[in-house]
Amino acid sequence: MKKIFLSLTLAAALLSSGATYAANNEPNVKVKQAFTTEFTQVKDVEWIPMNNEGVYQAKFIFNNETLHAFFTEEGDFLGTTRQILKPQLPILVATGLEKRYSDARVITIFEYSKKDGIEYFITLTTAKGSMIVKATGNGDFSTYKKNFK
Amino acid sequence: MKKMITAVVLSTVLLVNAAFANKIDNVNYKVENAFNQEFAQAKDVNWGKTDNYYKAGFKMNSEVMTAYFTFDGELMGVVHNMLSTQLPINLQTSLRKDYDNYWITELFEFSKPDSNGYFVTLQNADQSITLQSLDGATWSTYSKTKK
Repeated sequence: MKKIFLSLTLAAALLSSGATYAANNEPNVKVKQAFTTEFTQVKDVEWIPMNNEGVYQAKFIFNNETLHAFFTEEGDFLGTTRQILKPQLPILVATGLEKRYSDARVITIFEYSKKDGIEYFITLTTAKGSMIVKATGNGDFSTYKKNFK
Repeated sequence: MKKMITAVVLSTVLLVNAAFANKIDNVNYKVENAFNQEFAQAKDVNWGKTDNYYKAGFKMNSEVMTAYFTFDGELMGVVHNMLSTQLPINLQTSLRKDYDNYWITELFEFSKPDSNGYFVTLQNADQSITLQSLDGATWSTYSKTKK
């Protein structure tokens, strides 16, 4: 179940920038309360419909950054995504990236903060094609998706 | 041993920010080699030395960092002073929720070769509290002192 949520969350985060959305996806009270508990001082929230039933996505500004937070319809907080820049990566991820993928160019980086940890999804291009690598905060890398020519 | 090394570096950073390392121009080959391997993109490197370790201050990705090495060239850890907005989001929101009436006096990321963590020192009128996060998602209390 958790894997499904992870995929949903990630897919939404990676694809959301260019997507267009349907008009109405107001969540139930449980979800709204969960959001308020998690992000106490946020006032302006846009609820974004997702194709998958049972998961709600909130888009809002926090500390001048656009964030996306994800909740189940029971009000369970799944995590938050935001787009970040290379200098915002933890040291072990930044140095690991330079060592392992020195010939690649970084296109986008998404931070995925969950309740129990953090992951980074980094889109890279090389002469062979593009790929998304996943990194933990401790600098462990794995290939998430590969699109080589 | 590794725990002891971490404790030495951490206490140094938390207490005095390693201000007492004597500046030097050259380090031994092992240390210089280890530094160049680990931080190939480093700029503006300056070296210091204490009785227990070498300390390299440098810039990487426009961020100021400090790396600590044993005399044998083993990387002990890296310290990166940072802004609260650079923290992972869950750590930012948690500070906002649970420590709203405190102000931040120190915040840094501490990376060892196999793990990383965040340390923040907060103060209010009554006390000073240092929190640590080893999972990038939740804080726990590292130390607390009354004023």
